This record gives sequence, structure tokens and C-alpha cells, in this order.
Amino acid sequence: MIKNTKKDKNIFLFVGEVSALVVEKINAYNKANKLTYKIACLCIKDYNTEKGVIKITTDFSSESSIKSSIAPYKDQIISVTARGERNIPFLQAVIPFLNHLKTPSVESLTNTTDKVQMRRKFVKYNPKISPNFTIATDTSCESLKKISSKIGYPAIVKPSGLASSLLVSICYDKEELKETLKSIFTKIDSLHKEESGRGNPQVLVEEFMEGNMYAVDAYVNNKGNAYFLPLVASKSGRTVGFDDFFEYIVSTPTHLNETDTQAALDTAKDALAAVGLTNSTAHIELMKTPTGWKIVELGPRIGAFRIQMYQLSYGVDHSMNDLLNKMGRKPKLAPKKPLAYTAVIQFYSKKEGRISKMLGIKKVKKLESFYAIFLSKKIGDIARFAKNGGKPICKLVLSNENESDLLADIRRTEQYVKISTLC
Amino acid sequence: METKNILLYVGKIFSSSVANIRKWEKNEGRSFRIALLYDSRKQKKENEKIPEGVDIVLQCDLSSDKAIQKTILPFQDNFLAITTRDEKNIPYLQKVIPHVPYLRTPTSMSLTWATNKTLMRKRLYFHDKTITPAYTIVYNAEKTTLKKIEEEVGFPLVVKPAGLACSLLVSVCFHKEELEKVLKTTFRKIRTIYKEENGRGEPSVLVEQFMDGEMYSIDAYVDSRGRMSFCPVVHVKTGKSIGFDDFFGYQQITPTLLSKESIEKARCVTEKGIHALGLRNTTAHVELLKTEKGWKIIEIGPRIGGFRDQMYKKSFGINHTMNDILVRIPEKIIVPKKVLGHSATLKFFAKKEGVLTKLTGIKKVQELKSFYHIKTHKKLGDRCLYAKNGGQSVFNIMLFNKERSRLLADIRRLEKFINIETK
Repeated sequence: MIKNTKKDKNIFLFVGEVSALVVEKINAYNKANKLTYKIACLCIKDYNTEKGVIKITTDFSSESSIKSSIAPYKDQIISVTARGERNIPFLQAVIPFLNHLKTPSVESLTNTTDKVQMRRKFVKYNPKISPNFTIATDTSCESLKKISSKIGYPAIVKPSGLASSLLVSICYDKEELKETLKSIFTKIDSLHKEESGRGNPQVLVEEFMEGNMYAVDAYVNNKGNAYFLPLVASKSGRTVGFDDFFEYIVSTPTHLNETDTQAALDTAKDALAAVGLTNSTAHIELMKTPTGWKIVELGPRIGAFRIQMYQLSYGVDHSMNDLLNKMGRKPKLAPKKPLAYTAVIQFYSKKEGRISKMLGIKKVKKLESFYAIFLSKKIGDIARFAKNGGKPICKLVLSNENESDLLADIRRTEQYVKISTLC
Repeated sequence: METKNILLYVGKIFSSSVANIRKWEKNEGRSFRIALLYDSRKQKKENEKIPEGVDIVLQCDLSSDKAIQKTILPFQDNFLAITTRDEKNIPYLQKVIPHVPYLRTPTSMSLTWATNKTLMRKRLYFHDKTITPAYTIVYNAEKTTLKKIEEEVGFPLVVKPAGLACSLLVSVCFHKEELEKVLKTTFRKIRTIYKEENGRGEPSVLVEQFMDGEMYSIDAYVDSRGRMSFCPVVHVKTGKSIGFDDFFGYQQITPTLLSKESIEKARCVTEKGIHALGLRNTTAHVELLKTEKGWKIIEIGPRIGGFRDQMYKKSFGINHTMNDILVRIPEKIIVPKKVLGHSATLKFFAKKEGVLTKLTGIKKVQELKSFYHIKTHKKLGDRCLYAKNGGQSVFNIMLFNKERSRLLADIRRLEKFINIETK
């Protein structure tokens, strides 16, 4: 049985939001270990917290409001965290008032949420781990010329403070770059607002890397040492015929050999050192290119769906590990042998427009590998590609002890789910 | 003794091959006579007219030893080398080989091993099982067969007829229901397509483990002692990676971005595969898969790969046609290494099977700076089928540009310009 280290320090503080899954995980942990950790959520007034969560409302734009909101709980808070990229700026605002806790530095969080800053840090630390990049400020001939000569084609255009491949596009020539930049500049401000974008809206243009994408989550302690979870393979929409970079499918375990895995982790370590992240979970996206591993990006947070994936495939309580690491405890890592094979699929419609038909969802739920489905759109809603600011229509978690059975169910899912749109 | 100066092509010769030979003659101050021997039982199609510049045209019933002997007897002492183009002409070459005993040729048996996928897999497996996937051979779609496949190969798997090329009737199956359906279709169609496509050997079906990875190919010249000279590696993007449920080679591009180390490993596996089949005095076209567990052989053809003479010529100045002949004479072959530019060939299929109702963009495509060559196979009203169902592409196109980024931009434009509709 694990004992609470200090009798009065028993609140886990979540900044911005806390999901039902996380609450469930902490309750289960308390029950299993006969502990009494409490959950608090520092959030805006309109946010609805789960049952049993202490709701602490605040105005994140006001330092005095934050200070007064957390004051009554300050001595009881044992660990502070934020889930999802959009809550990192809130965490940054809170950190100065919780300096007695193990937290990442505010600067390191800026380094990891602002893609421009992140690239600068990578290049400075080890240029080999990063593609060439530049910042696009306008669509003038001069700017386009500068980008063309510095980056070349194909080039990837991405907003600096947005996640989920939102507004990410590939450009093969100057004309396409001009059109893409024009489109991004018209959308970026509103999307930045909608999605609580990090930093000032900026547009990054970087060299297109060809290769296979992977991701890994790691716990970085207060000394900067990283403990890695297993790698996850990722395929973008481009691999299944979309002209879009959204993450179509992620799966774990991967088929990477030990040498490749070690090389990936070494690259990830360099990236963590470059941004100076400590006392945090990190989600690192990497590309295995013909010339070695490169960093796509790094987030100071748990990766999307990684709580479910690591739990199902390795029995790792990723959510609790994130908190334990921030308490200065060593997280429980994954066993060598996986328990199951897990995949998460994101469905977008083949054509943009109003959703007129969504078939196959019931059939999917009957699959042996089915674990969970998250529908974010319904008939009548507008479906857009990620590059145009759209979100997936549904997300599906599948898991199976047998890899071939999982692959068969992925295939069935692809055949069952039919999404039609009207222009 | 009369001069040995006849280059004998069995079954087929392209006009580009004739041109390549004539160009070489001019540069080297040599003179050859080009002979074509084809099967008189086969009706020549419109696009298979004998190209200009062929000096001797011979025809006979290639199934008859007597007819072959009688036809080639007057030239017996003048033959310098014998070769063929296209997988479907290999059986004819095999028929002729015993009648030209004093020419350097591959053994008839090695050609059988290299054109029958079942025998090829057996040879590769016994030579080195790490370079080939698990496989089994089946002759029907009965329940016991399905069970055998599940036990010996497992899912996902690829079903491919043993003696057909160009991804004809090749399907991937992820589960039992799919396998049963695919096998039934394959066995229903196999005899007809074997007849139409001059299938090699007795119709049988190979079922092999599906391997995930990037596809590449290498053409190699093998001398009488099994020593090899390698042509540059070509990257192949299959229909699957652009959203088709089909394995046709959508895009082939050279040079690749592979590192020297990776190319060396690919060559090593290529060499093992060629030696496993005992090929000699021939060009070999080797298709490989770069998996996370290393390079694997998809298949080996005892011939020049499709489009390779044009691609290698434009990108490296390699006279592939002449090298194919020189290795058989034998004389020194020349494989320049310097990159002159980047070549790509693309095969366009209709997104949906049916009657071709619209084909637009062809004129615009011909105005692209990288445009080199186009060959249209279908016209409005023609039936379009997927490669796996025995279909041919609507058209094939080759692009070339000195700069890779410009070539990629033109491929992008090409994909946007072309509109193929079916009903």
C-alpha cells in the first residue's frame, strides 16, 4: 500500500479541464491503494466539471484572480498538470503561483507550444534533428522568394500555435504556396481564437520530410531525465488518399527493431534537452526519414488517446504516471511484452460539405476489437478537412490481443463506415 | 564462319529499344542486325506493330520445337545475343533457348523459377528465409484450404496468382470472409486471364503474408558467373497509398532519397534473391519492400523492368537496352552513376470501375515542363477495371525534370489536371 506522503497535501490540480476518464482513473488508483487524493479543476466559470471534482473558477487573464482562486487550496495541492495543448497557456499562467511544486518552467512551455520557437531551439541544439524552416509573414513576392530559396519545395505550411494538423498544408510550388498562405492568413486569427491557440498567430514554413511517422510519450523528471513509454506508429491521411495531414491511424506496439527504437529515443532526448523541459510528460512526434530520425514536434503533455492506448496495450496508467512524475515519484513504465495491440482511427469525410449520411457505426460497435467511439459530428453538420480547419467526424479505439485480428477489424471498420456529404 | 551480329528478340521489341541500339552503334562504330521472332499463333494487336528498324522478322509456332529449329536455322551462326521484353514473353524465350546452345542465356529452369511466383517463393525461402514472407500455395477456395492458409500464413495476407504480372488478380485480405470471397473470385477468373495474358505455368494461387513497408525496385545485370552490376533504385508508390484498394504501381520515381547504407542493404538482398533463382546472363528486375524488419523480396523478373529503359536513360544516361544485350554477349556494361535529373512514371486508373465517360486534362498535362511521354490505353466508352480485376491503366505518363522539387510540383499539377470519370 502506498501512503500519501503528506497528510494535508492531497489535491491534484488540473488546469483548464479534466475529463471523466481522468477522474475515473484517479478514483480507481485511490481505491486500489487505499488513498484519498482529491481532484480539483482550475477553470473558467462556464466549464462543467465532473462529479466529485472541486471546481475552482478563475479568470486566466488576471494574475490576481488566479492567485486568489488557488489561495485556499495552495497548501493542499500536491501536483499540477494540464491535459491537451489548448490548456498549456493556462498552466503557464498558474505556474508562478505554485512555485513550491515540481512544474516545468514557463519558458520551456513556450518553447514547446510555439512551433517557431520550438524549431529555433532544435536547430540551436542539434540541427540534424530538425528540418529547415522559416516564418511567413505575408504573401508578397519578396517573402515568397525568400521562402522558396530558403526552404525549397515541397514545403509544409503550418500555423505555429495550433494542434491536430489544423491548417497544415503541403505546397509544391510558389503559386500553391501563395494560395495556401492567403487562405491561412484569412483563417488563422479566428481559428486561433476558437482553438485557444498558443502564442501569437504565426505561420511556419518548413522543409517537407518524407518518411514514416511515429510518436512517443515520455516522463521528464526534475533533473531532465526522460523515461519513455513504447513508440506508437502513425499514418496520416495522405497514406489513404487524402490530400490532408490529419492523423488517420495510430497504433502500438510498432514493428521497429531495437536499433531504430534506440535511435528514435536518442533523437527524442535531444529534442527534450533542446527545449529544456522538466517535471512534465512530453508527447514527441518523430519522422523516420531515409537520412535519420527528425522531430516533427514536441508537446508538454500526454498525447491524444495515449491514456487508452498505453492502458490497453501495456497496462500503464499514463494519467497517474503524469501526476506521480510531477510529485517527484518514478512512474511505472511499460512491460517489454505488450498485453494487446491497440489502434485509434480518425474518420474524415472524403469530400467536404454537409454530412448527409453516416453508416456503419452500429456494426463497428459489434466488432471484437471495439473499445470506444467518440462521435463529434452528426448528420447536417459541416465536414471539413483538417487543412481547412476541420475536425474528425468520429474517432474510434480498437484493441485486440491478436495483431492480425485487430488489423482485420480495422479493415472491417474501413469497409463499414460510410460518410457521405452534400456540397 | 559468318559474322555474329544478330541481336535476337523473342516475342516483342519496342521502337525505343531499336533506337537505343542504333544510337549505341553510332557512338561505338559497331553494327548489329536486329531480329524479332514472334509466335505466329498470336494475333498482333494494333499497338504491337513491329517497329521500324527491325532488320529480320521471323515468325513461327513457338510451341513447336520443329518450327523453331526450322525458322532460326538460316541465321543460327549469326546470332550474337538473345533477349526478350515483358514477363509474358519469357515462356517464348524458354522455348527458343534450347535451339541456341552456343549463346549465353539464362537456364530454362531459372526462368521457370523466376516467372512462377510459387516456385520463386520456394527457392527464396530455402535460400534465405529472412528475405521472403511466409507463404502457401492453394488450388481451391474450400474450407480446408482456408484453414490451411490461416495456420500457415495468418492475416493479413496477399493473394496472387503464380504466373501473372502487373498486379493482376492480386488482393490483400484481412480476415476469413474476405479471403473466401477473394479466392472464389480468383479461381473463377484465373483460367481466362491466364489465357489472355499468356500466364506462366499451371494456374495456381500463392498466398503470402502481407508486409507493410515502402516499395522499391532495382534492375541488375547478371553475368555468366552470377556477378552483378546494379542500376539505381526506383521508389514505387502503389495504388494503396493513394486510396485505391489495389496494388498497381501508381508512381515510380528515381533517384530515391535512400541512404548509401540502405541501398547497400537492398543490393545485398537483391543479390541473394537472384542467386536463389540461379539467374545468369540476364537482366533482372527485382521488387523489394523496405520493412521495419529489413528488406524483403516481393518478386524477381528475368527481364528489364517496365519503363526502366526510359527512366534510367533520362536520369542517369544508362543505355539499359544495350546493357541488357552486352551482359548476354558478354561485353563490358556501362552504368553511369551521375544523376542527370529525376524521372517519374505514373499509371492512372479510374477511381471506380465502369465505362469511361470522361477523360480530361491530357492536353494540359502535355504542356507541363516535366512532360516527357504519354501512352493512352483507353478511350471514351472503354471499360475500366482495377488491376486486381485484370484491368489496364487508362494511361501511363512519364515526367522528367533536372530538379526533384520541380518534378514533384508537376506531379502535383498532373494529379490536379486529370479527371477520369466512369459510369
